[in-house]
Amino acid sequence: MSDKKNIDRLFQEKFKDFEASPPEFVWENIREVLEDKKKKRVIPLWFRLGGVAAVIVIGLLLGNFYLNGWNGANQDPAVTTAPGATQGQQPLKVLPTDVDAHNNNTKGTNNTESVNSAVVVNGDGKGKAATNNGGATGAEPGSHQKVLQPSSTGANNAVVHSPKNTYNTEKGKKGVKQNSLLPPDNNAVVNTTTKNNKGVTQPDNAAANNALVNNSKGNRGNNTNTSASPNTGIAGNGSFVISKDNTNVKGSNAITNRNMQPANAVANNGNSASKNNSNKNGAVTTGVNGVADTGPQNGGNKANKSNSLTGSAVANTTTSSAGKNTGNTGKAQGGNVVPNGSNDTSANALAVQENKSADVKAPVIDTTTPITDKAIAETAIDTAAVAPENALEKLLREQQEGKKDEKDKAVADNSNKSKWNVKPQVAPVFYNSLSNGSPIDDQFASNAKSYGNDLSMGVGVNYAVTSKISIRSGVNTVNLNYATKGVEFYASLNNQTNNVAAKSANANIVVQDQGTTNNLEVFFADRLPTDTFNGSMIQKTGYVEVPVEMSYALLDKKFGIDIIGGVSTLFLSQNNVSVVSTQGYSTNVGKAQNLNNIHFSTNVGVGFKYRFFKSFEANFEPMFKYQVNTFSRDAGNFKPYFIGLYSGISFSF
Amino acid sequence: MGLEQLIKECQQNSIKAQEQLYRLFAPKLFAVCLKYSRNRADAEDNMQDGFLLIFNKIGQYRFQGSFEGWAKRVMVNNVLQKYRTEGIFEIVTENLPEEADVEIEADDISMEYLMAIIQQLPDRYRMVFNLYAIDGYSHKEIAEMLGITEGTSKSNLARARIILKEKIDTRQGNTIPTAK
Repeated sequence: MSDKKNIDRLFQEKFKDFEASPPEFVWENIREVLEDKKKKRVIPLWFRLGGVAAVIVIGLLLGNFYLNGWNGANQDPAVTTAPGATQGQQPLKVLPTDVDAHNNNTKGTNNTESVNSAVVVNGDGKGKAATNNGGATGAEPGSHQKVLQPSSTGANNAVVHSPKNTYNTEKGKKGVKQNSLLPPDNNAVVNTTTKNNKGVTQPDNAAANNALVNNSKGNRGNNTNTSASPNTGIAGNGSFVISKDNTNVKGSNAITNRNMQPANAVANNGNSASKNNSNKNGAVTTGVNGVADTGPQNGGNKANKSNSLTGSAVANTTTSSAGKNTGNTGKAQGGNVVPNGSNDTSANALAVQENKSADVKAPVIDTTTPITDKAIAETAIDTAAVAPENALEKLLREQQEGKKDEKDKAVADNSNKSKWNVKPQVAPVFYNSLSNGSPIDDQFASNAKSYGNDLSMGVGVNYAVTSKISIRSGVNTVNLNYATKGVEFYASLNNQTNNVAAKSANANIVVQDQGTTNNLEVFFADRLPTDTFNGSMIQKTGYVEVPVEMSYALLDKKFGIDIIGGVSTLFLSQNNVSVVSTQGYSTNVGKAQNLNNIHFSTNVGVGFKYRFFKSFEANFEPMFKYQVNTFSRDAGNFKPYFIGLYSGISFSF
Repeated sequence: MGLEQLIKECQQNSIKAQEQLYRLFAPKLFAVCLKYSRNRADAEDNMQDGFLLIFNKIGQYRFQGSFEGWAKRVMVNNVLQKYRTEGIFEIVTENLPEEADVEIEADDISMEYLMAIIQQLPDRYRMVFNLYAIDGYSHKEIAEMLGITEGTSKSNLARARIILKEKIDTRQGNTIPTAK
């Protein structure tokens, strides 16, 4: 046992005072989490909802991106997923760290191998890839195919890392140029195929591939594939390629990072034929990466250059050798974008750089190859494809870093997204008339009126047509009443109040202006002057109001101001005329006969709202509603309107 | 500000205090992470998670015993927990190897090399060796922490020693012309 102590002691002594400084980003990460937590404590709901909103936005953006990618790729998605690859192949994980292992490949075989390990997939659904490999290198077709199929439907990506690129040239024989484009970090992908060579291409590449990944932790797997096959279009994306006439080669790459992040893959090829140009694609699932390939084709293209950018992105371009190609043109396209796993911003930086480089190269390529419009289109597409990614990454990063103000985000999201909102509302209603008429009888036109305040309640629905304009409707009940002062009334068997249908069960109550006592009637009829009461006449009406209004947002932030205009349809629901004597007696007179069952109002108002919670806002809307066509006859120049101070809480969804 | 005061402020979630505490203990605790992790990247991850755990649990620190010891335990437990969730401790290898000659001769082996070979040990061997040989836990404690038996712990320790010794020996024999 004493022996043991030696080794134990060795370690004990060595480690006793051992200290090591962690990289600064460790603290940064910790701090972010701590700060997030703190925020959470203060406004947990905001945080959570903001996160949800951000996720939704990102989801939408991702969706968009995929859709775009899809279209751009001519509907051939090249997708490879790390997961699939990993299952098939162990190397994935290893790749990043062990470059060497992969490198070992010698010659032709490598490509396929590298691919396998790398995740990516090559080969068309058609199995052409296999043929290439087999021919060229004798690599294991089986493994490829397996890999491919699971992940991609039809389309494949091949990705490989290679610090250097080697190229093939036509006919397989000759030209091989090796370009060591990139710094060690980069991955280069190259593919080239020429018609002549079927099996030839890529032998060298094997050596080239690898080396990369050392860099950032983020990128671990990179892959490049190259396969060339004439006509069949093997390598990358089978689906894309496909121009029969041309021999194209395509490479697509997929790269995966440890962290899942959006990535893009771009693939491309240069084809001599115009058809090919349209290929693109990259779809990427987890990882990332851009890759481009180029296939030179017919005639005499020789050199291809592929550039790999740092990180994972790679752009390849192929150009036809000068002079030789007439017919062929090579195109290059750069794809890029690679996020790195470790949330570092550096990843983004890389991506950006990559893009730049890609862009730069692209133009060059274009120039070298006089390509038809299509080429341009492709490049345009590529760049377009890149842009969305950046935005995505930004979003992702921002979310991760928690730097973005969650509130604003939530608010923004809300305003963008919530098309509908529902708002229970209550309003004190102030009834009034523009002129001093009386709807009951002209004789009361000059009487003083006192207008009662009442309540309106209801539910409003709001649909946002645009961010500024919305259409509103709803249902409200509204009760209105006013009193005509200075009237006298008495019970009568013969007479009745003008425009009022008396209740049949009772004696008629006749209401009239004070001082209009009909002496004749007094004399002949059934009452005594003492039976006349002074008092006031109260008319109550109730309506169910259905407004249809439009609002325009003058200000649409957390605090918003709207201008509102529209019309309401009011359905009569309550109709009552009663009298109250100065002594306090009151009795029902009947129903007004001149009220329309349906009438309208024109509405104007201003809405103030305050979003105090993601989907909830408090509203306060003073509305002026001028009633039209309220009375069927004898309105006595009564022009009623009412002002409602509508307030409520609206919920957006 | 004394350490105690600092810890109290950390308990109240003062970011400033937390940073100070981090700066104070990061070197030592990162060393722990390096020892217990598979590689530097893992160590960084563990460092981050471990420190978050420390700040999370700092309210439970009762000022009994050294804070450094407490923090180290939290850190180690965090790593163990992580590897445990990965299931590495479930394999049982009970057969105790022969006590081998684990004496080694050189003293001038670099820290980096020792760290590297420790990190290269299989997870459980690394845990057991660290816990027992370097940090002084007993086999019983280790067995509890890892959810294994004491026998397994001993067996793992012995294997770890053998592996380490082999690596040290080959290094001395093959690569290093340094004085023995």
